Amino acid sequence: MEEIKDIKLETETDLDIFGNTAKIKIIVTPDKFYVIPEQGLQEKISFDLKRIEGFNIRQTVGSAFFQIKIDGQYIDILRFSNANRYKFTRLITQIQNLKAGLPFSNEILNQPHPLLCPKCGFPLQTEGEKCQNCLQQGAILLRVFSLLSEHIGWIFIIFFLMIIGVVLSLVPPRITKILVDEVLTTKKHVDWLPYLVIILIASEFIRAQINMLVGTISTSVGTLITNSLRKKLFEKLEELSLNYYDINSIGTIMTRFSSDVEAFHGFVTQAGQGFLLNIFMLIGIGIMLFSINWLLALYVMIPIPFVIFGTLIFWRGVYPKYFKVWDSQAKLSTFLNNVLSGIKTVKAFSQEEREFKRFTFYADNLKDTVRTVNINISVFNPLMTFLFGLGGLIVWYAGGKNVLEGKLTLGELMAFLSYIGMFYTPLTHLTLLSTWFSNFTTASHRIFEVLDTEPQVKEPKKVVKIARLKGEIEFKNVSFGYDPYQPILKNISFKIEPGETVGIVGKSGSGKTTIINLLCKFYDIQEGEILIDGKNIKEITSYELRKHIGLVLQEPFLFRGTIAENISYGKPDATFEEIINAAKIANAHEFIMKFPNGYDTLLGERGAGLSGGEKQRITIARAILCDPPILILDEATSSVDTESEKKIQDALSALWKGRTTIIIAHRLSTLREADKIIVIDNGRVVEIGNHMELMEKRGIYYNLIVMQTQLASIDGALIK
Amino acid sequence: MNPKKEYLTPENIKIFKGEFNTINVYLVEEEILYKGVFVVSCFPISNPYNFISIFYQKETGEVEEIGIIKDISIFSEEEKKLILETLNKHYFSYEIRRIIDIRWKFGFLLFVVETDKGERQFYLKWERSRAIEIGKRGKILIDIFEDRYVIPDVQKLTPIEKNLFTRFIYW
Repeated sequence: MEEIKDIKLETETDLDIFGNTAKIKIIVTPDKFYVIPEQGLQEKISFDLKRIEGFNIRQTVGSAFFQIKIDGQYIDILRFSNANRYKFTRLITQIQNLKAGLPFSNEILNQPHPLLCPKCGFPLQTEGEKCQNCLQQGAILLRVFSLLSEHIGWIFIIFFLMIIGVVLSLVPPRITKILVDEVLTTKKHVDWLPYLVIILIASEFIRAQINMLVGTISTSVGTLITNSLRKKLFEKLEELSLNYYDINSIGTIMTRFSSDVEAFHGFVTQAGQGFLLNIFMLIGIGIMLFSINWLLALYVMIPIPFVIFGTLIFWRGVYPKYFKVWDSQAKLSTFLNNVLSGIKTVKAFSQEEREFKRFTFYADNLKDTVRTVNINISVFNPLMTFLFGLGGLIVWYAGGKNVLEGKLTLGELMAFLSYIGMFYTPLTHLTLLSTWFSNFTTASHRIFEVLDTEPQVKEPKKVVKIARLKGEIEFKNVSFGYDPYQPILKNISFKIEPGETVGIVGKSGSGKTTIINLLCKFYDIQEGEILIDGKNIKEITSYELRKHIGLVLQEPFLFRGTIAENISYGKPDATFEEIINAAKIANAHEFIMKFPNGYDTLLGERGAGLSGGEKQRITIARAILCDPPILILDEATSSVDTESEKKIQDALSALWKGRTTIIIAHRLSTLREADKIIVIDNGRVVEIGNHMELMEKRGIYYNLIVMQTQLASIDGALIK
Repeated sequence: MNPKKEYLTPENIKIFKGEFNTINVYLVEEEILYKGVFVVSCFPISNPYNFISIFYQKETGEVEEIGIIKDISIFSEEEKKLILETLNKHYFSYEIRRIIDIRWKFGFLLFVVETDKGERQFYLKWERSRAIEIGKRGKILIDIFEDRYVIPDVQKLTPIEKNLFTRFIYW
């Protein structure tokens, strides 16, 4: 084997080109690119670096190929599992740097995967997040207690009341003993009867009052904590960048709000009325039992291992079955939601029978899972009752013998039996403590995970107030990809002068909307810079920036509320006059006034009750009302009919006068009057000019126009 | 895709081996040679070996469909072999033969398994979307790096393995 000298980059892959597990070395020198298999079926190859025209990663299902471009053709030369994708993306950049004589690094290739904690190797939910494994359980509990600290006074009161409650619950059996021994059997103190009964009533009454108080306080504290946690979570979710919502489904986030936050409520309730109470009860009763008769108390302990063992076995078996019940319930409700929302389609295609069969499947599944769990519980509960009873039976036998032998009084036996009745239930609860505790810490982890997430878009530390923007926009060598491995925008540059109307055109997926997303700072760019009025948008906070940008999207989004509230969403202090003016400019006034309640008409979820065009005109009125110096229209008319489009067009042309306007339009005819048209293709700016200039150029824009004209003439012919 | 061609057949294309383990396709009528094509199944789960789409990669790196092979069996043995080899290159997964252990920690499941490619450990986010059905009784597990692990038939796992598996992947 020839000795390779002057190695600049070196790494390895885990698969050969055929998909077999293999160890293949990749070595890059200033002149050559080597593929050297140490295992697998692949052959050794090498290429002159000069001959390689480019590099690419071709993603397939479950793995990816590293490609080199030779003589205009991309060739798969290496294969790797997805775990190595990050490494090979870095390799491309490093080779390109090496070829261009720029600084490169071999260390960067073998750095740990950004989805793994560099300290312990445990996976992270998303890149850059805190490692849950490194956050110790104790640390989690400390944080939980820090959340509880605001209510520490109440927590002490609960604690104090609970101890009194436990002491009081130990009183009745003691009184029973006195009643039996001193009053009923020996008749020594017959006159004590009414007082003892009064003590019994009083202790029960005070205990009931204390329980009520503990319940009320712990529920109040629980709901207060839940409420403040929800507020903190919502605040955080508003702060987080859009990429967080790309990664996490709305369903998952909703779960954080509902069940995970409720777990905190559960923690306080459980702590107050569950495990702490049970611990005190066990200790208190234990003391009582041993103080009455230590030997008999030891007999009581006999069933304890069986109770603990039985409970653990049962929960290990049944707990996963509960998951299945929840899963079946979720599937059934998802199915119902789906079918009932699309009931019109179901009926239109006469699919009622098929949907009924599908419903039956989900309903039967739920029935089976619920039945399994309930049967298990039905078996478990009597078994536990039997075990508890066993303790009582032992005491009846041994204690009864002691009574007959005069070693124990009847009153003591009665008290003993009462205490036993109170002894085993807390024990079963405490056995499940670990399950409950682990569920609680999991929920806490999930909540802290959101609270600890840093927004992807970094905000400047210094907030600079902007009075009014002129509207000059410049993109300088901007590159960006939602998935950093696959850039959508590749080194794009263009400038828009203040007050200009600019169209952005290109095929679907070419990167038009991405430009808007970056301009609005919904995402941070990965390379290059965006300047507004000569200022880098990284130096302007998102909040301050967006105050000066009006955005009308393809899918108009209206909130539940009145039409007036929806129009004034961006300017809540707008006067009635301003709202009406905005609606008039947006050609919305006319249809709004047809509703009996005019501007006070309450809109349903997502603007239910309005047509697509009507919804869009309300969102335009919303943008007009804010009077932004920069207006962005992202396919604002593509989802409406021709008549609505005409009205929206009229509304929009009134809107873009005197402000920088960026229009992404599907129908190119709307851009004829634009000062400038930027043509994007495959993430690159390929043409810039006005309509006439680009038509003369006979490039991509010209072809798009010709294609649309031909389609329009076909439509015309069909109409004729 | 060429709209004139309904499907690709041995009459209208020739498939042969190219350089560096690639395959090339020659469109007979149009007299066009596409080098280094790759193939993708239209129905990778329900009908993986029919309706196979052939793509080529342009100089820009973009890919475009040449056409679809409806029925692979009508091609010569050699061509069929080339298509299947290329098709299999597009899909990669580890087939789980035995589940050794599954442990839950902070919302992740650590799987220790024996696969067709040896023993492996992987982390799976404990979410429904990461364990999806394949066929009537199989499951695909997609780990944190998007690597795929297939259990062809959950029912064929041993009772202990099945119990362990369905304890976490209960859907």
